[in-house]
Amino acid sequence: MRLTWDEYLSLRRDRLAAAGASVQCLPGWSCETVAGLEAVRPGAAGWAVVCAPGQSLPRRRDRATAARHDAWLHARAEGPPAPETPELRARWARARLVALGERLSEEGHRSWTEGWREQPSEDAHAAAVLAGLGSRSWTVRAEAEALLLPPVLRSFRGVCLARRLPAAVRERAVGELREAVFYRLCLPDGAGRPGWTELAARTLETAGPVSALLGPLGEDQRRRAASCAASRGRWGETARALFGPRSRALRARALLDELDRWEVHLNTHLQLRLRARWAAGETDPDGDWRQLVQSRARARARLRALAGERAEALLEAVLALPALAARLRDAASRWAWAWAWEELARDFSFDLGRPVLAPCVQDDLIPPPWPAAWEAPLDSWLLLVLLRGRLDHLRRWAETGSTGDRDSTWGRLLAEALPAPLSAEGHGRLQDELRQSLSRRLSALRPVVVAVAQLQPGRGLKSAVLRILEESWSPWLPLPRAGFPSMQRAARALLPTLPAEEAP
Amino acid sequence: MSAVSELELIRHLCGADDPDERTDLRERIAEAPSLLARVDVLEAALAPPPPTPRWPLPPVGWGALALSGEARAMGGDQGHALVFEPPDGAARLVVVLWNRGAGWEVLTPTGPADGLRPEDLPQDGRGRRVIDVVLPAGRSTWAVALPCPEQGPDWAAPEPWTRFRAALFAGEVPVQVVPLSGSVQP
Repeated sequence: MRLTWDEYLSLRRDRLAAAGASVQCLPGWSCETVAGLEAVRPGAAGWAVVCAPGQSLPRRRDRATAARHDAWLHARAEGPPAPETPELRARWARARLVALGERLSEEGHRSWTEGWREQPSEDAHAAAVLAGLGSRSWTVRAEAEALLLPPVLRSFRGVCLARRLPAAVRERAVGELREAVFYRLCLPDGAGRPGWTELAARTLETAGPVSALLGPLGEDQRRRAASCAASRGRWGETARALFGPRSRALRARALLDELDRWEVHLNTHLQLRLRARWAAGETDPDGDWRQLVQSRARARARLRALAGERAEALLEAVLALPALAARLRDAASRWAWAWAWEELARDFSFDLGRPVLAPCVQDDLIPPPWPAAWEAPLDSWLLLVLLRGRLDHLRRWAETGSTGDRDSTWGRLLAEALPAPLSAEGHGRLQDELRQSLSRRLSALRPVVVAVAQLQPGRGLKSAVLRILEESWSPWLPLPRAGFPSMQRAARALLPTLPAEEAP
Repeated sequence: MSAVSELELIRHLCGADDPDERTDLRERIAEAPSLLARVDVLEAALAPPPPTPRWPLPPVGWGALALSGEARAMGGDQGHALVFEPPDGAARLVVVLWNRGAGWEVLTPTGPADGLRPEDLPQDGRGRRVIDVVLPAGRSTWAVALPCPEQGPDWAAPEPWTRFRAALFAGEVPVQVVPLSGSVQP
């Protein structure tokens, strides 16, 4: 919507008011606002765009969208240096987030999902083409080319034009492309996936650029999506910010548990990227939006690669879309643009064995559930650690991988008493399990510790302790043979710190 | 305010930018007369040329005929041959096309009198049929197709190759395309 200058100034005031409101989520953002916004450095122009009084600004005569007004002002505004107070800097950042939130809901979402015109006859045609490609039917070639060749050829011409290739080269490339398109769409590439799956994934983006791509994913793809997000690029930082300083595998598991909230976590990721950009003094409004668009595009590309592995589910989801012809043609333009750059890099050799979109090669980092057969050995060992007074050592070791000292008792517990199954895969998996379940396990062990603490000291202590332990002791580790008075002292010392028993 | 690059502009005109980039770019174009003029020039350059008849041949290596290009000793010189295995015992014609960069041209047959059948061609030691070819300098692409007689050229029709092209398009003709390189003349 184009605004007059006065309407724009009014919008700026509203943004500042929204930025000052005490809310968890700013308008247009589905995530809680990230912390640390006082670290931004807006600079004089950036500050003026957001915070300078309207009467101190140059005045624009033309109507324009708020985003264009922002950029116009940034190019012209001069003002005093940005204030140094952290509160004002954070408020500036929140007001910028409000401005970008306006665009996220409109351009970031509705531009993808709305405005596709239904054309019943062409839509039915498009559905028949996709279904035919899905079953590798050569009979839909003419219909597929009638629908898809024009946008695909135009994208290839566009790339050739952008690279200023001579007309003869351009037409040779386009001529070969014309014959290659159907083969690319219909036949599997070197990774075993036909090109129509890439096209279908891009079509599905128009049902919700990120969330719709989650629909076709199976369990394997969901696990790798979470593993990828916990590992790759700046997303690793986002996962740490979201789920704390746990291991990568645990962050991946946490992401997997919340994969259906991907859009929310993506918003957090975007805010963190913006915070880093603003902290580096980069506050050009056009650059902010470019940052958002690129970060979202990377997230979508990863999900597309995974959705493409699920041809049947993908086809079912795409065939359910209204206005399919319009969406499919639009997707074909974007898909062909990416393909054309790939071909350009290889002199238009049309090696159809190479996919346009690199397949996802992410390993599944998320360990399988802790085996039931390992429960008893772990709990017995934990009990031994508690009775040897080494709970603090255990906690440090589980969190950091080291106790920070050279305690010989802990060393023996780890090297000699740890049941074989628990150390068979190294200590990493055990540490991950303890980070997740230690509190629950300590609660469960509390009655045993209480029982030991309440025993009468003296000559019968050893046999009394052993009677208690034998009830649930795992055969994977030997029962203790000595040190029972110190075990009881440790049990008594532990009681105030052990979590209460959880309700079953 | 960052400038709109030519690449962004072309991508937008091709509809290949993401929907979340389009609104703003449309606004930027609308507010800059110089961009509007540039759009007209680029639109003209993107317009497709008039259509030409297609030879719907598959990309290199994606046809269904086992065909290879092989170097051969021919006296003191080196020659080249296209070698293929006929796919079945059905009656077929041999159609050879080449492309030196300016589009496909038929080498054989050129008329009703010079039609070749696979069994007219010599065989190598492995029973494959051999077509000796003289390569032009540089890179060229060669295609061998084996249509059934009713899919081959119809010399009585005004456009003899229409029937063959239609059969190729429908994927009914065993065909393969190979790239070959001839030595560049000094």
